[in-house]
Amino acid sequence: MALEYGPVGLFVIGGFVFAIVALGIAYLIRPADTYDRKLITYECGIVPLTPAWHRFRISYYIIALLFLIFEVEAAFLFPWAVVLRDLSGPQAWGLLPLAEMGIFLGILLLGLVYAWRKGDLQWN
Amino acid sequence: MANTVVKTILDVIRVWAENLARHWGIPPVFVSILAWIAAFVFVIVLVLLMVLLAVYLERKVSGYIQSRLGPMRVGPIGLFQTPMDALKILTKEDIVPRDADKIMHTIGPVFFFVVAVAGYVVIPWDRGAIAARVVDLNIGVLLVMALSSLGLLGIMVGGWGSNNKWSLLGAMRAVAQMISYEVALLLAIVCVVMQAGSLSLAAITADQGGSLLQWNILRWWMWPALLLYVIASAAESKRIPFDIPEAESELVSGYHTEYSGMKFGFFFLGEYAHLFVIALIGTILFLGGWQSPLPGSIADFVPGFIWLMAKALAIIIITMWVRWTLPRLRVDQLMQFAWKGLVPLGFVAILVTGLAVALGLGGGGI
Repeated sequence: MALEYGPVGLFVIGGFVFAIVALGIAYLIRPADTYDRKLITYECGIVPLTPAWHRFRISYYIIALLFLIFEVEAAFLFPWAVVLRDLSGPQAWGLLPLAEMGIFLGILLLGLVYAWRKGDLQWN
Repeated sequence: MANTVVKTILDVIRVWAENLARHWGIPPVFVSILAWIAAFVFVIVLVLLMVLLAVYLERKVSGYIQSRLGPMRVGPIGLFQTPMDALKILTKEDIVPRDADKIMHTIGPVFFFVVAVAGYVVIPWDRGAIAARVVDLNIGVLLVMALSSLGLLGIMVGGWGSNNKWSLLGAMRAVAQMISYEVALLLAIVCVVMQAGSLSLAAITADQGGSLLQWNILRWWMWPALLLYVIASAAESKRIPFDIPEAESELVSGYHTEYSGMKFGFFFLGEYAHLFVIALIGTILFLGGWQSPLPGSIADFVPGFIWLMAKALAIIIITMWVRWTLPRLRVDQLMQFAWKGLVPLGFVAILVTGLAVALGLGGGGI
């Protein structure tokens, strides 16, 4: 069972090995001619006054929160989507599984409408 | 013919290698690890070749669309231009700004590249059950999406670690854009999963077997999901109309402004690897994967691998065509389009496909 996921781990390790080897080769054959001016952070050719690490606009944070909600929703959708065909049909539950997910999505949609009305989706 | 077990050359090689290993007395665990390593080498060589091909095509297609020839000087019709550029990138000086976070600056592109390549592990390349895919996980499509969104972390780490305002702005925009469009992408994929009843990419391919009419692109109840996937996948691969993270004219070069040499190369490789895997997933979800358009006809003699590649390349060429057709969106338009346009459309798509599946369209239901 755990062996099934072995290739995934191997691909990740292999990717890192490839990257390290390529960077190593580059390290061996590239020139290293650095001087002080070359190492200044690029900013339209002027000497930067402040570091880039400072406060950032709030909209990105709100988008991240919204994303989290809808991503968790997608995580709930996937198991339902896999079994939908088996659960539906006259012999089983008919349209009931779809209606149940419809209620769940409806509540989420209300949340989206709320965020929309509040202006959180506005990007000024 | 499609239902019987057809042996491909890959299957034959794999059986031969396994018999050889048994003959030499190598334990089966090592045999499977060796097989995975072989598969990894196959994938990485394929990815590198595809990146070279895609960059060359990109230049040629751009050239022809703009009534010029594109690269012509290096090699016949400019064929050696991209390999030479790859060599050039390898020999370029690696400049790390003094103020940058040096560890983060290195980890960013490497991580971006690694997760882009790791997604290839579940792609079904051809027919046949044994060797045509590295592994057929029952969460296949979910794994690819999870890995491709992990690439964001590489962008964020690289952009933040550069300590450059352009880089940070580009990285922030990239993350905001990609998480927004990922919601839409996942909603589109849910529709395909509803139709196929499985997350495994091999099962999704098999669901579209039989004939051309079984492909999801020709099932009308999949069309909202298809529209959603086309738009969202273009945004996921950060192509023009959606290339706000890199917008040369406003952000210099976005999150890779401070990168040079092989580290830039890894961002570049990862981006094209990601573009290619998105095209492959699009092929598998909507264009029937490795299946030929007319099963049972002469088209079956072309290996499934060739069909998969041809369809994926067609998608890549269409994205290049789109690149020279549409203007770039503004950042506010981009974000509002995702949340106000695509997410509601995603709900519509789920409703349409859900109704069709619940009523038993597309077989298997009743």
